[in-house]
Formats: sequence, structure tokens, C-alpha cells
Amino acid sequence: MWIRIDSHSGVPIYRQIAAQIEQAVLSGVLQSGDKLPGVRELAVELTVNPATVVKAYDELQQIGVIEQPRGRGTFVRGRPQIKEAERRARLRAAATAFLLEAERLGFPATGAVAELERAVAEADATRAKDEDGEAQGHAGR
Amino acid sequence: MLAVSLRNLQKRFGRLTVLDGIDLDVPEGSIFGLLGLNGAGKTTLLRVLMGFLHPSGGEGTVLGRPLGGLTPEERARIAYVPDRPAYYENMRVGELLRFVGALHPRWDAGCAAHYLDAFELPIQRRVGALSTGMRTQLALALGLATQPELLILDEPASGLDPVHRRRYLQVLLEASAVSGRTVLLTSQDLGLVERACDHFALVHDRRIQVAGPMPEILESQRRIIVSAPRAAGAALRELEGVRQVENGSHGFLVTGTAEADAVRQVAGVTAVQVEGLSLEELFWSYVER
Repeated sequence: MWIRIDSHSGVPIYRQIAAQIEQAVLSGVLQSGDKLPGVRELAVELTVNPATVVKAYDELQQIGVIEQPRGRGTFVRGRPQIKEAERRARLRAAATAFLLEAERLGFPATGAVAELERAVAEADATRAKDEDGEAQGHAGR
Repeated sequence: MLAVSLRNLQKRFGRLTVLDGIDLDVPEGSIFGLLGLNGAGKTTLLRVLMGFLHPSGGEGTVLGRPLGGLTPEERARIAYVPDRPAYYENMRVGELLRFVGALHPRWDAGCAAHYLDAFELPIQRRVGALSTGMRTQLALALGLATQPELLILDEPASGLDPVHRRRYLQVLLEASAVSGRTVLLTSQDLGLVERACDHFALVHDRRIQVAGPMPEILESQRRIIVSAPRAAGAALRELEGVRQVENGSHGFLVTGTAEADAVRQVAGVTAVQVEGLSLEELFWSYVER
């Protein structure tokens, strides 16, 4: 696999493995039903202790990214299923971080909100264009 | 099953106390890393395990036998690789192998050849002419060829360049996959320990500061960036699970097992950011206190 381990990142190795697989599922590089390497195989490839891979897979299973049916291997299940309370907490933390950054850059809260609204409008426009393009693509066939 | 178990182990040299109340459990089949600064007593601990030194107090077992009570046959089930192994420098590598093989009851010549090959060690070269890295690899090959149930490595992988270090790590991981074999190593190379080991213990100030399964301990420990006025420092230090509180430019850096929610509820705290802890950061948070 394409997993990289950075010994100087300050992030525990099992977290690095789990985060990269989660990212690949979110980006669509890994799709539901894809088979992942076995614990021993991945441990050998990355030169890490198998317990580290077990821990990474356990974490991914807990948030619903992978499933490990007994004796059949490890498969991608889908996007992470995060508990409602944690979803809210994470969004709140991201909002706080965003406001802090704006403050650091010298923007008032109102300026930050205006910027957020502008980003939302931009994302909507892009999405509309994509859908439009797709519709035209279908029509052309 | 435990390969090594120590309870309240003490070791004094005259008036100098090196180990003071060491409790240590090394599970059978694990790769166990013993961490600590130079002079923390790691080598002393290994020498007590091997029966080279008598403990000043406490008790323990190695491969199920009480400390110091290993018979020569039982001793042969343990391979001890010191940090600077002494060999007959004039012997060629191949001769040294035959020499050690003839003396050891559990020697496996095929296994020795396998590791010599894996490390690409020159059979014809005199031991005294090997590079530091090659010597380190030879020591591991010799240890593994005795088919040990317990492999003890004192500061392995020192003097290895990145390529040889990776190969060394691979061989170590492969060797530990032999069922029931336990590897106990000391190392200053925290990156190597985090990759190789599934368990570890940190020796500092004559005691074990933290010990257990590697990923679980790393998971339970965190670094929390706290935005709060100076006055909140005292309350943060009082929180359960807080080991270290450093002053940052805009607040504090809190290290320990404390939950973010508990930190958030301290009076004056306006924001927290939770981050994981690498083995290296964990090490320093205990040693720098």
C-alpha cells in the first residue's frame, strides 16, 4: 500500500496508519468492499510491530470505516460513522480554531463570518456547475 | 504467560541505589522495549535478569525460574547480546560461527547461515575488520542461531546506517514471529522502539515510570494546548492525570492522561486543542519533569 510512516511527525504510528486509510476512503481512493492487506502482511511491508496494525484496524473498525469478518480478511466498509456528540464537538472545535485564526490575522468575528458565507456561496456555485456539466454530458450521449 | 516478572526489585552498589522497587512484567512472545537515559540502570537490570548480578532486594522470575536460579541448560534458552560484544578479533566470521556453534547446545547452523545471508556478512573477513554496523548484525545473527526463547539485546542497532537499520528491524520482527519467542531490548533509539516493540517500560529515577502495551499507552496519553490566563496554571496542575504543565506564549501545554473535557472546565480556559503523543514526546514528558 501507499501508507507512509513519518518517524518525526509526533503522531503515534497506529494513528498515522488509521488516518491515511480513513483519508483514502474519504477521497474515494479506497471504495466500499475493497480488500485491505492482512495484519501480518502490512506489518512486514511497513516494518512495524503487528500490534500497531491491529490497533489501527481496531480503531478504523470502531468508526465503521472497515469490517473484519472472522477469518475472511479486512474490507473497506464506508465513510466514518462518527457519534452525534463527537460530530458536534468536532465541528465546534473546527469553528473555534477558525475564529482563532481570523483573530490572529486581525479580522473581527463579523469578517470571519462574511468569509465563511463567501466560501459557502463558492462551494454551491461549483457544485451547481458540476451538476450542470454532468447533465449536459448525459444529454450529449 | 510471562517471560520475565519482577516485583519490588532493588539493586544497590555500596551506597548508590541504581534500581529501587522495580515491578516489571514482560509477556511471552512480546517485543519489549526498555527505555531510559544513559545510567538509568537498564543494563544493570538486564544483568540481574541474566544472573550476572545479585539483586539487593525483591524477587522475580525469568522463563519461570527464580532469579539467579537458572541451570546451564535453562541459561542456554536465553541469548544475551551486550552492546559491545567481545569476540576473538583474529577469527574469521565463518570460524567464529563454528566456534560458537560447537559450544552451544541449541545451535542451528542453517539458521546462522540464513541470517548471515540476510545481513550480507562476509564469511571470510576477520571479526576485527568488520564495521560497527556489521558487528551489530553479526551479534544478532549469533544470538538468533542459538534458537533462544528469550532474546535480550542491550542497545542494538547502534552504529547502523538507515539501510542497515531497516534490515535489522525487519530481521528482528521476523525473528519474533517464531512462536513463544520473547525479545527484550534496551534502546535510546525511540523511533526504532516505537516501530519494533509492542510493549515498553520507561526506567527513570531508579523506578519504572510507565509500562504496558505500546499503542494503548500512546492512546491514553495526550498533549493539550490550552488557551488560558496565567492564573489557571495552578488549577491545571491539580487536575487528575496531568503530568506536565508548560507555559506557552498564549497559555499552557498540558501533557498526561487528563481528558480534554476536564481541562475545558477549568476556570479561565477559553480554548483547548487535543493532540496525540509520540513515544519520543512521552519519553521527554517523564524525563524532563
